[in-house]
Amino acid sequence: MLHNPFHAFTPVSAAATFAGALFVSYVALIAFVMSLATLSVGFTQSERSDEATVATLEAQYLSDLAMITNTNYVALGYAKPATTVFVPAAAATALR
Amino acid sequence: MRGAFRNRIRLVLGAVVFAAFLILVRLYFVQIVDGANYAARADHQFAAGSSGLFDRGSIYFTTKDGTLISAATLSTGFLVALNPQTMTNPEAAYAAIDAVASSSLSVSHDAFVSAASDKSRVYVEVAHHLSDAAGQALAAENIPGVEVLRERWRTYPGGDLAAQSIGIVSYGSGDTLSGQTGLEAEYDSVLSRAGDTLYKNFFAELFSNVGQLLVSARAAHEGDLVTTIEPEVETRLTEDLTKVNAQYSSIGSGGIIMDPATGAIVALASFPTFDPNNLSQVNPSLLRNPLVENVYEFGSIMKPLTMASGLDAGVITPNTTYDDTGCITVDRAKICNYDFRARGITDMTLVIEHSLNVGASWIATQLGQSAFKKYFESYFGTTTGIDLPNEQRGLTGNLNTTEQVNFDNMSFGQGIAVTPVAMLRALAAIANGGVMETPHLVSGITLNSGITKQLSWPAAGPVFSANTASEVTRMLVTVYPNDAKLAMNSDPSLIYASVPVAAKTGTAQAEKPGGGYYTNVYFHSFFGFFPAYAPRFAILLYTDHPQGVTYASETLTPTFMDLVSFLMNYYDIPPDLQDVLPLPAHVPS
Repeated sequence: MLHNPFHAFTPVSAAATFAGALFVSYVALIAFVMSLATLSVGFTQSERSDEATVATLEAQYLSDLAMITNTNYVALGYAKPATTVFVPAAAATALR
Repeated sequence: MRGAFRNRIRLVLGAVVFAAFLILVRLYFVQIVDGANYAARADHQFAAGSSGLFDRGSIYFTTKDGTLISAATLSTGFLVALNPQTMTNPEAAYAAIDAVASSSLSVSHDAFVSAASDKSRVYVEVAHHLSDAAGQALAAENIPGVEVLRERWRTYPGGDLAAQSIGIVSYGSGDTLSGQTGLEAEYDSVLSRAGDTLYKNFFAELFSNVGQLLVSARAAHEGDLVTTIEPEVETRLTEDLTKVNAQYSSIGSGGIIMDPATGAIVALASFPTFDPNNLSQVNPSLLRNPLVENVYEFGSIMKPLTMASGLDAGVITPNTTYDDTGCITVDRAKICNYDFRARGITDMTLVIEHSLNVGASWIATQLGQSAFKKYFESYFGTTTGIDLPNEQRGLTGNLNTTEQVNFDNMSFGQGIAVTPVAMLRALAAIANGGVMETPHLVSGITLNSGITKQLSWPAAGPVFSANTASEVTRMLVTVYPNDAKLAMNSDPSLIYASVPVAAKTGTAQAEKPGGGYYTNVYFHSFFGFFPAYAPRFAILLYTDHPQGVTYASETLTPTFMDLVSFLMNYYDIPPDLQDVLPLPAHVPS
């Protein structure tokens, strides 16, 4: 009777198979990690650039705010209302 | 025999599986847990030289609708460095850099050429803060000896907005960038990002600090600061103070707007100030925050606290009267009303309304030194605990003396010096039912995990009763119409508030450097809160050494009215016409 080594299940062959699988997994994981690291670098750079852009916009917003605050509306021709009339707050039931 | 062999094989197999498991765990931590750090390192190695890219958490203003606006954040760009050993044509290199980044060059033409010709050096930084476009354009030219490296730096989008309180980042005495003043210093451990060690032994890291790998201590405290400062209110306060300071050529002015119920500071500003984006020209003395580091004698805005002390102790009531003689002599020192006029039989409300020094002194006498000391130590005996560095304690040494004249002086705000924030904390207790809150700027910390940790600021405690607070409030409400009328006589465009406003002005004689007081140099202050019977905001303003003017009602009342008008509109505070006092036809002189 011929001995078929592929049909023999021995601890050595199982270990070898498992080690091979681990090695392939390890290589695959390394490749995966490398690609992720590359993507992460790109994303981080992009995020930082976006943050800097937002900071620029925020600086513009705050600068505009200061400009609006400083604006002398009387000098621009606007006048303070001659009279101010307050409307009594409507009762809650009136809103229904 | 065969069984023993199998056992050994299983042992080896187990070891291999365990090793594989360790590797998988390690990969998980490398990629998932510490992924951001490694990405940053890779980023740094990709573009920068030997030093790591600067990283730091942000500080945010919070608008009234909860939107976060950066008060301090990071900008990204490029720096230019020379390698003289590989540089072939310094003139051409200078021309190329000057063409794309003339404003970023930190050296003159001659210094550039000199540095570029020094072959003993390999690295000389010549330009910072280049924009992405300029940096990439320069890098594309591929000039020999010119290196274009990525760079990050601290930037403050608001410029001088709350600059002394936000603070600055610099090298200080060490070789790493860290917060030196303001919130940058107070929360440096939250904002700073720990430097990563680039070279670690793989196995040493794997088998040591396992706990740190599983639970990152840094992630538990590193984050961004969310402040209570509202940018529009801050802008308004800053502009108003700038105008006051310029109009009266004061040596300094400041102001704080606070929610009296929580101690949350909505805006705080002082003038002169500085632009933290451009520190090279800044006088270092401007980095100091006078709102917490300077003490002042505030003058008559102390009277409401004297009144509250007397009422709370039960030695007076609002209807108590005394005979006001205009001047009194105490311990051979003469104390007079601001106008030297005698009012005769006068009740307590008029002491506040007419700001009578003799009346305040009378209350201090009724109170007695021991009770006076007890109350004033509860107001000013400790620092406020505000989250800003270098807060100073008040100068309250006169509380430990026995001369009555010292207590009389303190009753109207002379001979006792406290910080503006301590003064506001104490006065705001009137607006908060007698409870002093802890003033604070930071409401929460957004951790790197995305979780926002809300900070709690426990109250300093009640210092007088709620009934006392409401009685003093009623007195302060009588002050505002007269002051407003005076201000509106000078500037009719000012708007009289449509809610009751509690207010008090203070005009203190400025202290001479060698002791004693000037007779014609003043420190002006103003305290107020509104709506008086349901306060939303408490405001403290001051201006130091204003020129050509005597009374605070002239300098600061218009500013206060402008802020009240602005805040009412901005926060949609409804009018309260029933409780608001009418403008007087004329102001009593």
